[in-house]
Amino acid sequence: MNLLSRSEELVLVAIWKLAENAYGVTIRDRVSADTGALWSFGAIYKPLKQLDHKGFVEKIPGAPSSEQGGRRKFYYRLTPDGRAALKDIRKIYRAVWTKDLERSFE
Amino acid sequence: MKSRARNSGVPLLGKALLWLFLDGSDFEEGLGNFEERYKAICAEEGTFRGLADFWAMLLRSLPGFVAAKIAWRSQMIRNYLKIAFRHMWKQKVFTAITIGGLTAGIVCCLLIFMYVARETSYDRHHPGYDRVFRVAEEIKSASSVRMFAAVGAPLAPALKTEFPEVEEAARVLRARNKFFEVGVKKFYETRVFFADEALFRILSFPFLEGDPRTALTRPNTIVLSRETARKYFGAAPAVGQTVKVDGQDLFEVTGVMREMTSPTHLKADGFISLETRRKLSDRSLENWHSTTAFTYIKLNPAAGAASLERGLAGFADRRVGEQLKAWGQVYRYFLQPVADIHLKSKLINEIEPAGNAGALALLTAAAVLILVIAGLNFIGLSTARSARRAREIGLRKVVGAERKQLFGQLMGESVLLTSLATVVGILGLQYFLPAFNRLAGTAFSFSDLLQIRSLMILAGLWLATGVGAGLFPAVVLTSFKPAAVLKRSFQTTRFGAGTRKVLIVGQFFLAALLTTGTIVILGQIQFMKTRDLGFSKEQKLILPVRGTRDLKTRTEEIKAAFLEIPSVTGAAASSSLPGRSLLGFNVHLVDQAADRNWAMDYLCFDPDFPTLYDIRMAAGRPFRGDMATDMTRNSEQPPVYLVNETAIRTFGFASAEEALGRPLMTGNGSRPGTIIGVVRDFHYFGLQQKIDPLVMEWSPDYFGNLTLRIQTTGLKDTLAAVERKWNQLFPQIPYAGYFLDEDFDKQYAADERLWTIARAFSILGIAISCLGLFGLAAFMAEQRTREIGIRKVLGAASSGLALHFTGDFVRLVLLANLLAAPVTWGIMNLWLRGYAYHMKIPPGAFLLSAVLSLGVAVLTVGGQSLRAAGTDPAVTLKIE
Repeated sequence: MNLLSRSEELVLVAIWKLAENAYGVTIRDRVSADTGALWSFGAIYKPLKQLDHKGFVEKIPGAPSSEQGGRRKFYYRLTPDGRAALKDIRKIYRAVWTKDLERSFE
Repeated sequence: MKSRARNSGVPLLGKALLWLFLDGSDFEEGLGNFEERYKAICAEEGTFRGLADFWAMLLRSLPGFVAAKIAWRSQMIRNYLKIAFRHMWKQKVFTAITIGGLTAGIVCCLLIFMYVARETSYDRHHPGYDRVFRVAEEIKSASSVRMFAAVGAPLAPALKTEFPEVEEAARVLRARNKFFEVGVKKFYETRVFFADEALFRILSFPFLEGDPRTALTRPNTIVLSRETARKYFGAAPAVGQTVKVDGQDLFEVTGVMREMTSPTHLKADGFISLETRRKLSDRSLENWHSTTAFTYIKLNPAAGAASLERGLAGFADRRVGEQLKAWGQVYRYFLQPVADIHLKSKLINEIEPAGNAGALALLTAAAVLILVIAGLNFIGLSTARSARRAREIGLRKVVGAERKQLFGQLMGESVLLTSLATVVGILGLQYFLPAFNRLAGTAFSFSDLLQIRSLMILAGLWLATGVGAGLFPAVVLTSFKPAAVLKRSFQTTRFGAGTRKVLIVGQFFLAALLTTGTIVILGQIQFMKTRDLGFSKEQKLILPVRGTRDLKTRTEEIKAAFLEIPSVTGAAASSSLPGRSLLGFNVHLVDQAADRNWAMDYLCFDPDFPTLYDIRMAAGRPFRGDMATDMTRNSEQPPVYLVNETAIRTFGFASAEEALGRPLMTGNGSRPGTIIGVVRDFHYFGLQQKIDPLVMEWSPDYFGNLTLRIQTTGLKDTLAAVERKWNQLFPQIPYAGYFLDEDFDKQYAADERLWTIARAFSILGIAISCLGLFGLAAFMAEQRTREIGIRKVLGAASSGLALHFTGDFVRLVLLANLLAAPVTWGIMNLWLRGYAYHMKIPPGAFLLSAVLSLGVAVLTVGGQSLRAAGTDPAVTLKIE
């Protein structure tokens, strides 16, 4: 099993949630919102690159957009491996966070 | 279009930063993201908030970018390193030549820079050295201006009391050749000075024993250097012991100084308290006109040197103005920063000869030239190999490598090579150091290399060389178009052929500078050593007679005693000797106005001296032993003088005869004397210096040296006999004879040292250039095997082919020599100008240097060409 780092995990989930609209700005907003902390572009840069390198996401150049000054947007999409990794994550969380444990926080 | 231009509002600097940290599409992506956010915030909250957020975001992003880059790069760097080492291994000749050359260059530069650093660090260790000055004096008369390193002794105390700017003032006076006795240990000490107690508050001489504050306050106390203290007292503490000086007075040792780790111009083996002389009410300490007291002052932190100098302007006039007016002289005191003395001060009566700033510049230039030649090797060989690298670069480009990255890769390779060279250099340095120390007269050790300053020099050299040498090949190689490179037909052999020609010319140009310069230096040394000095310095054994008055009172008796030895064929007594410092007195002609006076050198000798030394007369007669009135016995009878031809010209006489019989007044005598003869000019100093006006007198009171002319056959026996005789005559004084010619030629020691270093450098320069040439020739031969094969098939002879290829290189070397000739001529003439008497640069020097480099070039290239031309065309053509 290929364990992901925490930041990679957060970014991966964010991309999954964003579905078709996952690119730098939206991913950063999503992760910031999820964690309630300020994430810089630099902070998501490395996990994004790693995910790309490990083959969990793929980077797809889009059409030039006016929002980005006529530059292409680079979208990220989950690969089948990425989807499998998400499932693994969910499984691990389930195993770790047993019902008893969950209850003790309530 | 217009709106886009307005919209792309991210600050340019931010854009540049992003470009630096992000590669390829990452840059586009990152910039796009930043811009989207920036524009959104600008639209909602205004440009100011947008900008603030942009910079905050950018700064917070940088660590992430860098971390990603490092993680990513470490992969690539491992790959780059593998490729680099593979290339180096595959091309061992190239690697060896490059690393060898760079190593030599870096080691040379490092050594020379260390040497320069040492030479420029003189007297910078004294606390507050920028407030420490030496007061020197300019004495101006109607006809002469002379600058003295030392001033009248009363100046220092006067400065301290009258100028609030002066915090401390101290005097140092030479105590020439003191004869020290401690029990059975007896030596002459030459580096002994009288000094005020305040000296230790101005200049730093750390004490091992004793207290610098009180060491020199009492009369008859002495502070010794550690070395000297050891010599007399061994390991026992020296403080409290006594030293007998000059056979009479006892001095108490009150301090021992540590060895100086930082260089100083005031190298002393002993300081005797000046109080000793003051207590004897020494009148010379009140003489404003003497130039014997080296005067050091320390200024208040608030005071400026310029304002003090202005205050000193009329100082001498206020004290001894009337006398100066009568003599027609003006004294001007000026300040020298203590740290400038070693390299810049060339005044009369310096404590030690000044360092040679010109030689230092020449050496630095030579060392840098070597490194440049080595760098050119790297450039030349890299561009020659570019055909091989081009495919790799092209392929990397095709798979998406950016020029920026490739550039970094190639620069990295150059820096890697330089690093290897540096490491080899450091390891090899310990073997070079003793040789260098011998050449340069230094005492560097390997641990000096580990000091911050040398390490910084080393790091600087390493980076400058790595980047400097790598830049050009990197630019060239990364400029190739991948499509062109990957085609089979791409030929980079032709590429850079012009550049390589320029490089070869450049290298041999620099090598020619070095060799011709060396030849000229050697020529000048030979010139100085062989030129007719106007006297004969050969076969002269000098016996300094000190610590006794015998030579002054019993001159003839002592001479006769030595002449009893059959192989001693002549003897004469004198005050000083050619090559040694002379007395100096003020001189004026009695029948002329009082303001026409000159400071002249002064030599006292007996009638046998000119005969012994072959000093010839221009007019009049020499001193005659049978004329009692020629000798100055006391101040009762008027003295008679000889002068040299330069003095005649200084006086303004049209001929030597005109001077005969003229009354002359010198600072030595109290009554005027008469000029009885004029001697031909002779070089009583080395040829660096102009002949000065000289006055000669037969005054036994100044005699301190005995010259013996000896036969060269049976030299050993003669020397033994002389020493035996000496021990009979002066049993209490150690024998210290030496040969005049050796001593005289010591004046050229600095030049000879320069020559040996320059020689080593030019050999290195040529060797490294030839290494490069060898590499290029080997490469050419390899690249042109096919051409050679075809030529041979068509009927060319091996010898003809070899000549053809050698000729290409020879032309370039020849051109380099032609170009270098005028430049060397200019530079070396500048150098020669430092010598009052110098040779003209002979055309042979250029010819010799050209023949030398041509010969070596032909040897290196010719072998390669012959080998290439000798191959069987059937074999070479089949390969292609």
